[in-house]
Amino acid sequence: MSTQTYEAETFRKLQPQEYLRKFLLKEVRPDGRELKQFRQTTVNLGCISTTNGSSLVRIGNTTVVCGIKAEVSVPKQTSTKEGYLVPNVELSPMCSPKFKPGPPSEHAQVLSENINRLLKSASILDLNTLCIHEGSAVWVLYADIVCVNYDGNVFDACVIGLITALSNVKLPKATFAEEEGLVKATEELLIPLNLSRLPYPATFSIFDGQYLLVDPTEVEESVAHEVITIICDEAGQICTVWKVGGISCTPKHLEKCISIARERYIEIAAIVENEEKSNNLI
Amino acid sequence: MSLNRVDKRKFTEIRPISIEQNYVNKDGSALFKFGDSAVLCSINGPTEVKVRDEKLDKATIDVLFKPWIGSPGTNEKTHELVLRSTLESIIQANLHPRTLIQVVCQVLMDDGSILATAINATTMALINAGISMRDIAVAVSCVICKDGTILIDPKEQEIEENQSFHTFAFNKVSLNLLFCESFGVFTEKQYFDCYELSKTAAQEVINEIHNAIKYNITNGR
Repeated sequence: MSTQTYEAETFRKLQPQEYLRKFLLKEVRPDGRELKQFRQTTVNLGCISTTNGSSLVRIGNTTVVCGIKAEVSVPKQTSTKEGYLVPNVELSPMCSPKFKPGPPSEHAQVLSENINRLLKSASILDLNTLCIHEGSAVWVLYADIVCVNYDGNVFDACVIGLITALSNVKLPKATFAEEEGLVKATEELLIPLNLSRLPYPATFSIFDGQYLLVDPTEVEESVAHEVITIICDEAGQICTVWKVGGISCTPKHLEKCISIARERYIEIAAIVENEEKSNNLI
Repeated sequence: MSLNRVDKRKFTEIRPISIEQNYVNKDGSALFKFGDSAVLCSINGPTEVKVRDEKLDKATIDVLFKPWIGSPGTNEKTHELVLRSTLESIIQANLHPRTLIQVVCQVLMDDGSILATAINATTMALINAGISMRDIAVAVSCVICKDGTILIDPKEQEIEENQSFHTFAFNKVSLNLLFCESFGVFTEKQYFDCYELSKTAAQEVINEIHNAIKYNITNGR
């Protein structure tokens, strides 16, 4: 028996594509999932007490921590009432040997950029609500998203992490004393952010131009280069469609992805709601 | 109704396209313009590759995207990833193992839909460089305005006030979706409307590319 497992492992390393193909012919994935099945997802809110809002998201073995820290800053000259929301994704060598220490890798930069575009284009948070005193002081929210364990589908984990952390943010009540030019804030953290929508994502890979794999793992990502990400909101509207690589994607694939993404939305919303309830009890 | 756009175009009309190949003295190059948006793309290769980037079974494709003004940021990095993954699925990289194909895109003028312009410029430069490809990629952008109208190939001014912004790239043979980037808030129906309109517009781009190649061949360039 032990020699057999060894052989399968060797086969996987030598012929990763053929290895995956053999599984998919039987409509099953190497980790025992069905093609349309997401990995178990958990959300843990407020896990870092030194932040204004935080969350820890697990999708299978992929783990992402998002912490949001609020600081006071001067607004831009051109938009005197707008605060800032600065998302940053970090993929350190800790999460996978693929990443080297040093400046952010291309992958991390693309994740940050796409998250920033999502925040801006879907206007999830009205930046005017971050104003303390027009022209003098606004809140700046640093959203640091750190990947702790990389096992594929990190974008989904990052977006869920960011959105849940944002809904977890509590800001102190702040006033601007004009004579002293100082911002005074209360000790207690009271004011939640007013988010206009709560979008959640779903990611798919197309392998061999025919198999649609939901929520790919790192191994699946490395051989299936055609990736589709759909982000929907609670009203069923779409906030992002992102598709790169491969030439086999048709509108049929997209329709299927969108309908699965909507089912996934309900699933994640339920997980988050449960977590919020249990968090409030403590 | 057609007067509603800033430059008096119809909603589904693309801007005039201008294509110039052999623009700089490289293995292959092309200047592609969508109206005032212009991207210059030059190709080097297949050439020697650094050992670190070497792939045993295919050519390494390296993309550099230079913005019009300022230094490259995360936006340009994202464009690079998009271009690279698009090219990897259309270039026959397995014909040139252990080599490097370097693609450099320089934005000469940015008046909206710059990523689509860059993808088209790259396609023309690759054809000019004589790199073997399975297929060619053509790209078109569109926006959905607040009132729900869809504008194909928007100018910068039209992008600023929109509900959502989409860029689609299709392959020529089957007109399947190569790349899609859609941000904003929109419904499923609106998305597929954009998809179909962009596909029609992509066909027009393909025709223009055909004409440009024909012109170059008949004039012996």
